[in-house]
Order: sequence, then structure tokens, then C-alpha cells
Amino acid sequence: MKLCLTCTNGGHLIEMLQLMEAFEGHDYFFVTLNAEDTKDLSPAYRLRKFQSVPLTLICTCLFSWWILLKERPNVIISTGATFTVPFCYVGKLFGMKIIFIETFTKIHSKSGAGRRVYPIADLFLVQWEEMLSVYGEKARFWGGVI
Amino acid sequence: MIFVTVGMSPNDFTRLVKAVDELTEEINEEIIYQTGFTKYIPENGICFDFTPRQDFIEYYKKARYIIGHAGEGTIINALKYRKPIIVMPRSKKFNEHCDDHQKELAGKISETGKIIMVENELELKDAIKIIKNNKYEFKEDKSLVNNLANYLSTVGKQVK
Repeated sequence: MKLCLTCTNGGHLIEMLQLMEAFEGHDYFFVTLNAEDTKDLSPAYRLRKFQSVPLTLICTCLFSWWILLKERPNVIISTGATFTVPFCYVGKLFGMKIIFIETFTKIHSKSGAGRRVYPIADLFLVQWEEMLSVYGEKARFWGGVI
Repeated sequence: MIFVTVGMSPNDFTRLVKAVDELTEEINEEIIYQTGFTKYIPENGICFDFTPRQDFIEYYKKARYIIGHAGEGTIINALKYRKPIIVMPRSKKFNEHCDDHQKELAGKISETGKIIMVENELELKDAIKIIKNNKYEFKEDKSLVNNLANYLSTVGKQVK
């Protein structure tokens, strides 16, 4: 299969990289932000920046549209945050499977991205058992990145 | 060699760096410090503020164990390279961080036994003894990776 791995840089990228072993045997590409720690990722598409304002949201949706039409992944896997929300929504419109992994830094409450992607996720994973009751019946606990 | 790291956080964390420096004798091996924005300069050991990522990773790989602030990246890197890690969370009270999130997260992870969390120099001294006496057991949990791989495999069969 072809997988799209989407995340912001920093901690969300670190968590995605901890999962790479799960993606062995599949083709994949990254969609991420332009930053020091994402420059060695390959293949990768990089957004220059993201702000939750209408113009940037529209541009992000158009960018997502273009990438997903071009690459046509079977599955989008996201560890959050920010722009990965509209990206997942565009992917859902294309009929792609959406997998979201809530950050392990969230122990008692939802992340902004997690809360927004939960309604459309085909698979929603939390990294602490306590988070199952925070999210609801769709959430699954399969362990953590550490 | 042991590696001490306070990460890229813009706040000073003299409390940790000084505590390790004062335990130089107990540690009794080479210490390399990454001090970031911390003003305190250790009297013993090698010290630098920042270093390129590849070099940073080499220090993790070469260290016998890690002492650090309780940053997400610090903890994940230590566990990724199978190194025992002692963390001291940055505290909002001492202006070491904007909130007490590190303490919350480190407390939760330390319950799993994967890291040792300390809050002061005395606890740090005890934690160092635990590691030196080989009483620390490394625990690895691959269940998320394995379950995710199985799920993708199932989806892959449906797609075909």
C-alpha cells in the first residue's frame, strides 16, 4: 500500500519516527512542516508554515488536494498537529483511510488536533489507557511510542 | 561517559546542572553536559550549549546513562537507544518552564518503570546509585508498533 505520514515537526515528528517499523513493506511519503528537523525526511512535502486563519486554511486545503490527487495514498497516518487536521479532512473526502495517533504527552485531556480528527478517523489510537474514556468508544489503546 | 541534557527550552535549568555537578564524585565517570539556555557552567566535565542533531544523537548512543530534563524528545531518545534515564522535571515554580507539564508526563511515564523521575539532588543521588548498582531494568514495549503493522496488513489485503 501507499501510506501518507503527516505530522508537524518537533515532538509530533519524533513520535511518528518511533512508528516507522510498523510501515515496513509499504511505500510512504511524508507531509510535514518546513523545519530543521524535517529537512532529511524523504520523500516529503513541506508546508512553509500554518496558522488557523481562513486564508491559510484554504491554501492548506488546496495544497492537500494537490498532494493527495498526485500521490493517491491508501492510508493517511497522522500524529498531529495543526495543518494535519484539514489534511485529514481532505483525505477523507477522497475516500482514504484515516489513522490518527494522539500524542503521548496528553494524559488527561484531548489535543486540539485529536479532538478535531476523532469524528472522521477510521482508527483513533490513544497512548494512555485513561484516554479511552476521555475520547469515547471509537478510541483504541494499543500501547505507546515508548 | 554519562550525558546530561536540558534540551532546547528557553528557560534556565541551573537546578539540574548544578545538582549533577555537585555529584561528580559519586558519578565517578566522564560527564558531558548540554546546557542549552542554562547560565550555570559546571566546574567538572565537558560542557556545550547546543550541538547539531547528529552529534547530539552520538552522545546518546555513547552514554552509559542519561540525566536530563523531562522533555518528550529527551525521554524518547534515551529509550530509543536503550539507555537508562533519570529525569528531573522543569518546574513552573522556579521559572524553569511555562507550566508543570513535564512533571505530569514524567510522573506518568515513571509509573511504568521506564524512566526514573527525581525532584531534588538527594533523589538524584539515590537514582544514580540504582543505575550504578545495575538495579535498573530496561523495559521495551513494541505493542503499538506491532498492532499498527497488523492493522495495516489487514487493510492492505482488503485494498488488494
